[in-house]
Amino acid sequence: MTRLAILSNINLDPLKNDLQKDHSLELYFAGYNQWQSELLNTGSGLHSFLPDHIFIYLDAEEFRSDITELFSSIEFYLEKKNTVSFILSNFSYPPYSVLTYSSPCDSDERHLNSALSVFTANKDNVFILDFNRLIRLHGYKAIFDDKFWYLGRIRHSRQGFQALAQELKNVLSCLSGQTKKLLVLDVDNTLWGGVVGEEGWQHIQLSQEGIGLVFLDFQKKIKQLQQTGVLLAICSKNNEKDVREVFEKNTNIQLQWDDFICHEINWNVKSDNIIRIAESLDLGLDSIVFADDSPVERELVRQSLPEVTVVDFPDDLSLLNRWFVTDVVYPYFGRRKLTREDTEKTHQYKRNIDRKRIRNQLDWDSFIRQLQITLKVFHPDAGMAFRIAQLTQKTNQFNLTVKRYTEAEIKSLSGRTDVRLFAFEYEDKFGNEGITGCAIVLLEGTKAIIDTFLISCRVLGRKVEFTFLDHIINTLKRDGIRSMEAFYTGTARNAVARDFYPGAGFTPAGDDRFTRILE
Amino acid sequence: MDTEQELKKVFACTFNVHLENISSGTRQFELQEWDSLGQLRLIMEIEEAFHVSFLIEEIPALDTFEKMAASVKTKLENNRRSRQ
Repeated sequence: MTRLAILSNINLDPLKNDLQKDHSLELYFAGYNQWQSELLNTGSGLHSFLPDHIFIYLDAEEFRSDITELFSSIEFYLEKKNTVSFILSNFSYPPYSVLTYSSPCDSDERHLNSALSVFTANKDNVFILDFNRLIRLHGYKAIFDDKFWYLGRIRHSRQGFQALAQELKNVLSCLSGQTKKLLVLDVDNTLWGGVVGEEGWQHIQLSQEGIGLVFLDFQKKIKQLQQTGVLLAICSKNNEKDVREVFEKNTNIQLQWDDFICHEINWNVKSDNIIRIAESLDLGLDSIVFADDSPVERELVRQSLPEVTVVDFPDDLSLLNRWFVTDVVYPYFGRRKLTREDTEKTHQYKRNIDRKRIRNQLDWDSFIRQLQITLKVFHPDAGMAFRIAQLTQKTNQFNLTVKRYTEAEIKSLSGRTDVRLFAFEYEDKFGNEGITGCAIVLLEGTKAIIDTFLISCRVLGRKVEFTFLDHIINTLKRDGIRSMEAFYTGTARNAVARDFYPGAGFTPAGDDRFTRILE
Repeated sequence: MDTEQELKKVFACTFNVHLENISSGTRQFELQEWDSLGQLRLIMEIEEAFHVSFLIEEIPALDTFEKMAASVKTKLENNRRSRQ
């Protein structure tokens, strides 16, 4: 459940119409124009609601305070509760006024919005929702409706509220890091026009003109997305040889064969192929988005694999590229920042496939020895908090307690003297995998409690969890810790970690609790 | 589906109540969320669902389900005539 509070100087109640359909959201609407008192009064409904996120929309024409009052109110709230994140809409004035041709409001708008940017620039828990971008996309006349203003201080139209609700959801999924990991694509009439098996690699539509250019641009956008760390796979009913030929011989191709981590090109049912792709990458079906031009294939996947997100494909191909950005990238793959691990993602999964190759020739222990693994364990500093938070949000398998943390929460934990954060960087003879494991340990006198212990699936199954835990225990022993307590919270996905603590010398103590005395 | 049934669905969905809670006798303020702001949320949903538009002066008077249904039906009828 995500707790979202909505504050404004006008009425935003109709946002409820769309947001209440999302059952993962718990909503709080502050009263009309109560934004400031709700923030400043610690006895307010907002304070007792305990929101995870606070969205503030201020209507520029109604906003008569000094902008610094907004900032100091937010800072006041953050001093009380630093784990909340603020989402601030930027300001927009109507396009025309009665005064002069170049509206005096333009400079006011610029002034307010640049103050907003300066305020948010170095804050991890204050974000801007770019409302002006929605106006650019839909148009002022479509977003605003005066009728409701005169009846109830409601500024926006139905369409305006729909757009705002969607944008809010995009920002929330981006902030929580709960985005998808893999985009599975069909090829014929999806990556290019026409059917390669019938027309041949030379004659498919992929060119500098017309429909061919639509697909060429589409490929460029998919490539950009892949470079941000999203994995790509092909799932197509074709002969593999025909599809390979397009990638090898067609000079207009923008994507490389190797940009795709898996190629399921055969005549099997697509849902089976998607399951195979998920298994080979150790990914859950709920981290997959499937795009296919055929409504029949989409419906089949939708019905047999309800966890997979199936996106509609536009009938009018001229809309393809805009649709891809607004309806696929933003809602499912939106991200706030890129980490080094993100941009390296496809290579890292490829190295895993290389590792699997030698694994097949060797027994397990000699395989691990062959890898020449080194772990560099350290205490992550505040600059690494984003990556640590990302690991807690995205790791589902070898994650003992599955607690999710935001960047701000990690930062606040790292400042506590009774908390120890650990992380490691993994390297073997195939390359460096970056920061791929972390642990959060709480100290209570001479007892240490493992709040979080996780290993990214990228390095899973190479026994590094034991090396990591040994390292943590040795450090804690040096600090005078005499006993350890740890937990395993079972979920549908983390069974792989169930027997970890017993295997590491811990004694079961009931209720998924484990203890160990340190000698 | 007839207009009244469809309208009941819009009411139920907007005010987050079960369909059975909406009858032709339902009046404004009987439902917790059907207050004056709720009225505007409702109008927005009805305008979208039925492709009709209400004038600012009509809206406050539509304070029962019955009046709302009658108004929607008239508007649908006018839309149909103007298309012919």
